Amino acid sequence: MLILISAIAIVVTIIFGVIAIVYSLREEKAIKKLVDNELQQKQRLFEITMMKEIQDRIGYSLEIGKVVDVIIESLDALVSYTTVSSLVLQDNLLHFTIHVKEAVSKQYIETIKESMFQSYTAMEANAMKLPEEENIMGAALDDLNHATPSSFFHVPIIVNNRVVSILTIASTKQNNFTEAEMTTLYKIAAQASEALSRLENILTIEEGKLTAMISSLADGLFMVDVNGQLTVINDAAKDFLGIPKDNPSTIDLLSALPNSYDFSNKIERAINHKRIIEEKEVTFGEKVFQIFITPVFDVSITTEKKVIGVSVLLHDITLEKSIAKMKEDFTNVMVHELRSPLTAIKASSELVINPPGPLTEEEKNKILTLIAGQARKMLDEVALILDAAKLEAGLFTIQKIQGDLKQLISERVQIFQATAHEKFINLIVDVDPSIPAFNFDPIHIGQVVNNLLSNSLKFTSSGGTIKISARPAIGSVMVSVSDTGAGIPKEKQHLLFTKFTQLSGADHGSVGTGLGLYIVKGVVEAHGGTINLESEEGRGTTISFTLPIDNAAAKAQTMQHPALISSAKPRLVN
Amino acid sequence: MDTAQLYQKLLNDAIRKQVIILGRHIVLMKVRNISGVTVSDDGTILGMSGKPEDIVTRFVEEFRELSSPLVKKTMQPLLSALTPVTQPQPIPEVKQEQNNKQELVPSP
Repeated sequence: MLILISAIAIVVTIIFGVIAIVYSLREEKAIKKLVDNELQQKQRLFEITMMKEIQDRIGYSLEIGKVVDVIIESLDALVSYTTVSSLVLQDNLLHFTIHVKEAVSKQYIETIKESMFQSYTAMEANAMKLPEEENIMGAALDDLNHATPSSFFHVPIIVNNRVVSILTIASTKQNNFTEAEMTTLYKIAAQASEALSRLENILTIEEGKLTAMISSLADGLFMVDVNGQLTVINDAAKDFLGIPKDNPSTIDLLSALPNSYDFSNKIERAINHKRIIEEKEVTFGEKVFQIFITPVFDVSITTEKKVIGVSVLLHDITLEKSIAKMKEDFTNVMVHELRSPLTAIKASSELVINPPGPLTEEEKNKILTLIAGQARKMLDEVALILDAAKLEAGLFTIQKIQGDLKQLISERVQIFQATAHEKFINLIVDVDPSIPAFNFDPIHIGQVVNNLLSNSLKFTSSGGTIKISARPAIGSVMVSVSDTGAGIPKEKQHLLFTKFTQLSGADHGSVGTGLGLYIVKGVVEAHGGTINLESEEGRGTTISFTLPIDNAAAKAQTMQHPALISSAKPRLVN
Repeated sequence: MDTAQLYQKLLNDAIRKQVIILGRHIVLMKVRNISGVTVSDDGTILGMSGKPEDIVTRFVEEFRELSSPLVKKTMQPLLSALTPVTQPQPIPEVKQEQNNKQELVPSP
């Protein structure tokens, strides 16, 4: 009986023992799971905090150094370590920085550094040998400490497939880091890598937009950083400065600028004084520029104004300057043109009023004719100025009446025949007799023909030829005056029909108001016609204009020239 | 050299490279997480059991968990050696029909 009771007691004890062990194991497992969960939560929280800190710190800047700093500063919360070091590639320089938490020897640091460089080279196979910069921070070095980095791991930061940094966490203790700790850091680095890659892509797109905008500017623009390096230059600036290269350097830029313009000094002044420098008029070769040198501030820093470079705007004022000069010349010419006849009138009238002796009727008539001629000349000049003013104000009007263009041309040619004969110039008239009578302003068209013949005579040397021709076209008549004169240089042709333009030619002594061709164009256009210039330097010039003819006249013209309907095409001018 | 040996060589090369890039401790930990792979302390694979392609895939996945940019940057030979299943499918050609409707025609 006693044996039975003992056996039962043993069995019960064993059963309770087993139950206790099972529960104990379960509890231990549950505790372990709880601890693991807590650790995971802690690491996840660390990851989130780090990423938020990184986002806040970098903002819209791609400074890798800032990301590295955030990770290093927060590292204590995750792992215990002896040193943490970073290798950052920035501005073509490898910055090696080591934060020493527990004193180590120089040899220890060299081992870490060498390992980091090997890691970098293994990832960037084409890495060039770059200059290095070393920075040791934290605890003092102790060369008597022979401890080596017994455990370490490298964490690369890769932006758009480029290794931009490596972080190395090391310890003198064996197996100091757990897989979970290391994985957390790799995950943070990977997320930072992806965030930086996205930011870089956005910035590249925005930079592309900015570059496109700068390129499309008519003004020249370039930017230079605080180290004097050229960062941006648009096509207009390259054109103005005559820089043909695709990627010009600062040296190209400086050698394109005139020596007399102390550019470096002006940039320095703009940076140091943080204010815009304006140059009202600077001449580079044949061009004149207004220059604005503006300091460029770092917008990411709000507390103080940090200058990161200067932008230089070249505003081409060559045209404005040349117009101003033309106006000045015009005033001088007008004074001369009006003063000459006035002087002649004054002298002649004084001669009539207070003659030195008795004047014969013939002498008086001669003087009065001279006065009348000079007065007419003045009136013509004043009429020209008035016409120009009306054209500019849009108030110029013409008085169309039915007239015979053939006769008008013939009369005008008669006036110039004598001068052409004197200069041994062959003046040819080739007018189609079938041109019908049509409505035009005979006074102003007479002025136009006068002006074109007069210009041709002025610029054609002895022995040359001037030809005036008139031909019917569909719905219009085309008149052209061509000469074998000096011709007009291509670069000046666009100025020909503008106000105050005086071109030098064979007849160097001649002066004029420079309004002639401006008014010619205005008169032709007021008729609804067009004017065209063809000229080659040394070979001569042809100026043609069309005058539209009214329906009745056009009908008469078509009846005389039925072929005009089917074959002839209007000549496009201008 | 058979396929398994070829994959083992590829893996050995990749491990050696990752040891230089990341450090020995983390690489050994990650490789030892892969079932079917025995690795020595210097990072040499001593034995592989199972399909080599699967082991390579698991190896890549272990490191992708650490960092995708790292895998993309440093594991091109392994990624290229992975099974064709993971390769991108050919883009179907577009055939222009007479009635101007477009039809997708798979490549042969």
